[in-house]
Amino acid sequence: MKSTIIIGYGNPDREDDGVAWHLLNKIVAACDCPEADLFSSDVIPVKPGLEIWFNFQLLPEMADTIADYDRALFIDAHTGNIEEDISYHALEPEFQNSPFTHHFTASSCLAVAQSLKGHYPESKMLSVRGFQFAFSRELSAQTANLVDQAFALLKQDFLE
Amino acid sequence: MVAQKITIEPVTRIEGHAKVTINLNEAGKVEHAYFHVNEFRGFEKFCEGRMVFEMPSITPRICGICPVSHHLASAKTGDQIMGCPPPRTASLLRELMHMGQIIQSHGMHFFELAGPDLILGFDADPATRNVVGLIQADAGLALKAVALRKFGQEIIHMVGGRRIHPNFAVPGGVNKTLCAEDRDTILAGIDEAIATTMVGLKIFKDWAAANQEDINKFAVFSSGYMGLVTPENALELYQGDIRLVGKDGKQLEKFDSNDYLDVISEHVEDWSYLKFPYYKKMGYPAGVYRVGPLGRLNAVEKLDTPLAQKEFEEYRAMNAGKPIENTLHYHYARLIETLFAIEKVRVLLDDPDIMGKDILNTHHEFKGEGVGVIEAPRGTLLHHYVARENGQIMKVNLIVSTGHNNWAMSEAVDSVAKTYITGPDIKEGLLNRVEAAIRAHDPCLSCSTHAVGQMPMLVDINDAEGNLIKTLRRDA
Repeated sequence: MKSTIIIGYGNPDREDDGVAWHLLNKIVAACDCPEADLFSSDVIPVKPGLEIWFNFQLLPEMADTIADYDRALFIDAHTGNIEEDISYHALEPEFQNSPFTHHFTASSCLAVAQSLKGHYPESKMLSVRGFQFAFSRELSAQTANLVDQAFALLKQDFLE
Repeated sequence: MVAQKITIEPVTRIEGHAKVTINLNEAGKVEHAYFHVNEFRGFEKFCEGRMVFEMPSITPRICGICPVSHHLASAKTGDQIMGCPPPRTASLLRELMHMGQIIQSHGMHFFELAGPDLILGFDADPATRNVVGLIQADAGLALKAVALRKFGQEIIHMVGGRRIHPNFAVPGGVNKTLCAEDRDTILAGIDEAIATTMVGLKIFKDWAAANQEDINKFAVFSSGYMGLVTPENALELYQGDIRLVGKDGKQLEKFDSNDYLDVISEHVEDWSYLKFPYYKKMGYPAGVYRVGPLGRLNAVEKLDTPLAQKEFEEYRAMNAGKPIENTLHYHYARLIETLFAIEKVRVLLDDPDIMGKDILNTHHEFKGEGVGVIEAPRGTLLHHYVARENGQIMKVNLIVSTGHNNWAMSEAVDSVAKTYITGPDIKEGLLNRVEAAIRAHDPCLSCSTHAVGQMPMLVDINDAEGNLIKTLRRDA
C-alpha cells in the first residue's frame, strides 16, 4: 500500500487562514480518530496508509519527513490570487524565493525534498479561497460554503 | 530624463502586507526609498474584554511564527497585573523554553534564509540562491541546520508539552515541571548544537573576509541600540532592565520596562501604517534605534557564557569596541546569540532548581496594570495590559520587535537602493540586495501587522507621471 500524507497549514485563529485546519478536522472525523491532536504538530496516522500533519506554516525541515511518502496533499488558503475559489492541481518541485522570511511554498517543499533525499511524493495542492482574516476560529460564511466541496475533492482521491 | 518611481509591491494575501517604493529623480538616481507596511491592526481591540489568564493563550495567535515569545511576554505581564511573581523554578523553565525559541528561530534564519545569500552569493541565480542550492552545495551542512532547528523546537516541545499553542506559562508561573528524562535529552544535544553554530560562524567569517567591500557599503548607518541587560550590562534575553545606547555606544537610558512610555514614543509617517518608535528625549528621527541581534550586541558590554563571550570580543573588535553599524552584521550577531542561547540552556539545566516542583504562585495582590518584556529573536517585545479588578482586560498595547526596527528596515532599503541603483536599468541583483536588506532584520510582519502573509516582490517602474515603464516580479 502506498503511503500518503496530507499536510494542512495556516493559522486557525485567523478565520479563513485556518481553512486547512478545518479540513483536517473533517478528515479526522471521517476516519473516526477523535483523539487526534492537530496542535501537537506531530504526524498523525488516521487510517492504514494515511497520515495527516498540521502546522502554522510550511518549513524547510518538513521536507525531510515529506520526502519519505509516496503521495502528498497540501492544503492551504488563498486570497484570490488564484482565479478559482477552489484550486486543485498537481504539484511539481520548484523553489520560490520570498523577500520576507517565513514564507515557504509547497512546491519549494518538494524541491527541498528532492534535493535532500532524491525523492519527492506525487503531490497535489488544494487551495481554498479565504475572504476574512481577522481574529476568530470561525470560517467566514463564504469560505465555510467552500469547505464541503473541497472535502469532496480530497475524499475522492485520498480517503476512498 | 523624468523622475521615476519604482515600486516593489508584494501581492497581498490579506490586508496586512508590505512593499518597497523607490523614487528616482530626473537623473535616474534614487531620490528616496521606502519600506511600507500596510498594517492590519485589530489585535489590541480583539483582546479587550478578555481575561488576564486567557492572554498567554490568545496572544500567541497573533502569528504562527513567534508564538512562544508572545506567550511568555504575556504571562510576565499577567504576573505583574495579578501581583503574583512566579517561583524560581517557573522562571527557569520559562527561560529554558525561551532559549529553545531563540535557537530554532536564529538557526533557521541563518542557515535556511540568509545563508544562501552569503554562501551562494547575492548575484547567484535566484533559482539556486536558496536552501535547495545550499543543499546541493553542501548537503551535510543542510542536515546540520535542520538538526539545530529541531533541537530548539524540541526544547519548546519538551518544556511546554506542545509545539503549537503550548498551554504552559500562566500568570504566577507555569503548569508543567521538567522530567529528568527530558532534561537529559536536551543536555545530550548541546554539543552538536554548539558545533553546528560554530560552523555557521566560520561560514560567516570566511564570507565576511572575502566580501569586506560589500559589508562596508551595504546599509551602514548610525542609530541608537536597545536590548535587555543584566545589572552588569551583560546580554539578557529573558528578564532584565532595558538599556538604550547612542550611536557612540554610550548609555542614554537604563530603565524598567514598566517605564517604557516615559522613554519611548511612536512617530507616524503618512506612507506607512506601521509606526516608528523612537527615544523621546532625542525626538524623531534623531532618537531612532535598532533592536534584535545587532541592536542587542551593541547595547551590552559582555556576554555571560564563555564561548559566546569570546566570539563577542572578536565581533566588537571589528570597530574597536564601538557599535557595529553594518546591517549585514546582523547575521554575525545572530549566530553569536545562538551560541549564547545554547550555552545558556546548559546553565539553566545545571541549576538544580529547574527540577523543582514549586511552579505556581497562587497568592495574588492585584495591581491592575503590567508590562511584560522579553527579547524575542527579532528584538524587544513589550506587552502592556490594563485590567479591571475582576481580571478583565480593558486596554492592550503591544510593541513588537519588528515595529522597533521599522525605521531601520526602511533606512536599509533606502541605503541599498542609493548604493546599487545607478539608473533605470534595474538588474536582478538589486532585488536580491533589497531583499537581503530587509531579511537581515528577520522581520516578522505577521506580528507587526498582526497578519500572516505570502509576500512576493513586485517592482513597478513608473515615470514621473505614474506611467508604468517596466515591471519586475519576484514571486512566492
